[in-house]
Amino acid sequence: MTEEKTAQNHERYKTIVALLMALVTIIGAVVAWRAALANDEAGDTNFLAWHAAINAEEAHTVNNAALYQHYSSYTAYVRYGYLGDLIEEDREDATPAEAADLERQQAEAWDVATTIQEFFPLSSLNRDGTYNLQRELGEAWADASKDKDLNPERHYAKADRARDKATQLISILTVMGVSLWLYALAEGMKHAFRYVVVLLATVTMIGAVIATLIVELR
Amino acid sequence: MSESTSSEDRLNHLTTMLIVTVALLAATVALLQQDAATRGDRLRRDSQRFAIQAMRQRSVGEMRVGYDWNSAYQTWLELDLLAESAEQDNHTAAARRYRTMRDEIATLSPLLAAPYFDTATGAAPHVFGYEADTYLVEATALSERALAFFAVGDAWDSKADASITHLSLFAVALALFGLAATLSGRVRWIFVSTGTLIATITLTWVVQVYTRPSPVIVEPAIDAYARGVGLAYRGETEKAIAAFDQALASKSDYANAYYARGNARYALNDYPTAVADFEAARAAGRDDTSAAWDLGWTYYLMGRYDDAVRANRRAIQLDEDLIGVRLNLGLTYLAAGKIEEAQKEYADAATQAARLVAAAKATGQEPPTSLWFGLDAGALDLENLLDRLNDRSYPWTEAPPRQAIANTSAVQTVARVLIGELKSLNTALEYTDKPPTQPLAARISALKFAAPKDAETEELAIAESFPEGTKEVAVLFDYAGMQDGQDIVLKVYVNGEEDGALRLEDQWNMGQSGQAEYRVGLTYSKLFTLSPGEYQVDLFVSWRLAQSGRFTVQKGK
Repeated sequence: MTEEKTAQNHERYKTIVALLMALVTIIGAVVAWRAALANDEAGDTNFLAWHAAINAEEAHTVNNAALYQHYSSYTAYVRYGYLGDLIEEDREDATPAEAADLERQQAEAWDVATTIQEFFPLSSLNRDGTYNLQRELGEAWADASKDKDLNPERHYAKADRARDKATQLISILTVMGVSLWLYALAEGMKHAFRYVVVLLATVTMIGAVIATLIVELR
Repeated sequence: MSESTSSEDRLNHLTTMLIVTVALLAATVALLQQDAATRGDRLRRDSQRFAIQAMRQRSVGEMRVGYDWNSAYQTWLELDLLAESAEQDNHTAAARRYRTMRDEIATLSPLLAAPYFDTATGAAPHVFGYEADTYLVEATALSERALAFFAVGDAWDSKADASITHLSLFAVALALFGLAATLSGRVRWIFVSTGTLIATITLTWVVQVYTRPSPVIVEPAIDAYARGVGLAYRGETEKAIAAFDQALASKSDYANAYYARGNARYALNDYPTAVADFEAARAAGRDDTSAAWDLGWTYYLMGRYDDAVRANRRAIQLDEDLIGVRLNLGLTYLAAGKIEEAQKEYADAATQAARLVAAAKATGQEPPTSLWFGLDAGALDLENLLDRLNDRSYPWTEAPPRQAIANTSAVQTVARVLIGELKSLNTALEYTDKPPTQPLAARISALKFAAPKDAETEELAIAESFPEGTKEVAVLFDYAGMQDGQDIVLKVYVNGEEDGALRLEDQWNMGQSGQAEYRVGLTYSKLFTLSPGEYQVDLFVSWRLAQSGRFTVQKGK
């Protein structure tokens, strides 16, 4: 009778352990699925980051190309504007015949300078007439950022977080593997120590579940 | 019965333990795989970021330097010339205005200030130094970081990929253990044993993969290399070599540093150490056309022809369109006295050049100018070889030592023919897109050179050397067998490089025979004269090289 009861208890014990093993396996599958989703999100976010990085490089290149075209025009503007100014000084000491010729040259120089002004933004000039390269670049960048995503860093950070999450979940999966291994060990044991092993496996499983929830809810 | 059941239970339990152990191992490998893949992903991503940052640095730097050189300095130079011209015409006020404007323009660009520009010397700004400081060093460092991060990321990716295989093998072991649970007797043991063997081998492989050291990024090596590239670009070759030494001290398998140091040592004519560096670069993984090309050329200059042939053939194997390497291969055979092999390689190079031009034209494109440059350089290399044999030496002469050149008599004869063929091919391809078809019928005497005796008279004095300040040189020759309407091209090379501004193109209208004269120079200019140097004039009739000659414009009055 006692042997029969012992056999029944052992069978019940084995059934419970088998159920716990099935439970930890199912939870493990759910954790693996969440890890796969996190990896997928990291991949998608990386693409967004890449797209923003390309946008940013395009904006840098286009803005600088425009900037130096403008600055070349400004150089020509300085040349002709300053020529007109210098002729003005020389006219005072010139003979009447020379003065007439200089007046014509001066008008030409200033006309050319005035025409060239159309080829660069006057808003880039400082009060003293010098060119503010940084201001123009800053304005062009601000304009470009209104139209396009130029900030890859936030996407990179998000992708990193998703990758870290996937790694943490797979770490938890390994812990669940330990729990499964302990259950399997306990299943074949017959002395009382098996309950300690089952308890250890269960604590490990519960710890893994709590860790999963923390990772997911963070 | 009881013993049998007990044994069965033990085996069942053993199988279960094996299954969960392998499952635990698989989970651990999955974690390692995830970690390796994450590292690989981040490193490759950083590599891409560095690559595009390098691209930005270069493109924006080029724009900046483009403005400084083509706009600011060009305007400065223009105003300086206008001032000088006004000064010569006694327009003092205009000259002063131009100089004041010139100085104002100089304030717009850092290139036109110290340490890159010194107006007192009259020399052009040190644009190479400016480029190195503005973007080259930083862009190089970024490019190198992109390569280094890619290499390390690739190593982690390889580990991650290996882990996928590990997981597959663990799955096979798990399947065998699972099947074993449904079997009995000896077969069951075979399944369990096989599964255990596969799991053990896989575990050993996992340990081997993850204990293998990954390549590391050596930042000081990258920074030293980039600094060296900047110094080499500035022309500070010895300092550059010291920087490359530092890079290699930090990272002994740094292929790009070996290659760059090889080029720096080559620039100092230290050929033995240069080839050692080029070989080291290839051994460290830089087995590309540049390394093979440079190696082949340096071996040729040392007279190590077999090694030169091997390196040139490797370059051609990597890119069969490299006309320059094919010409170098022919040149190497020629210097080695292997006349037939040399002629064959030159003929192959000519065919390849004609094919490239035809292919470009067929798609509505123009052949790259490097093709003309390559053919010209091939002819110059042959001339250098002849100069070496005839004990003539110029600053640009590069050829093997005279004693290393075999079969010298035949080499001289064949080299002269090949020079004519190469130059004719180059000119015909440039003007007609096809190799020359007609043989040369005209006979042109040796070219003579002359300049007016003085400013007051047009009377010419024949000479081979002219003083600095000479505005033009007359090219005189006798001719026979000419036909009116034939295309004439006169190319002028100064110190081994063609000066395109001096090229003359004409249609012959002076009859079949007689004496002719062409003028080389910029006669319209008040300011320009022929710069001091060694001049070579090539006369082409219907795209065939008909005659060549040399004269010198001396430095100093």
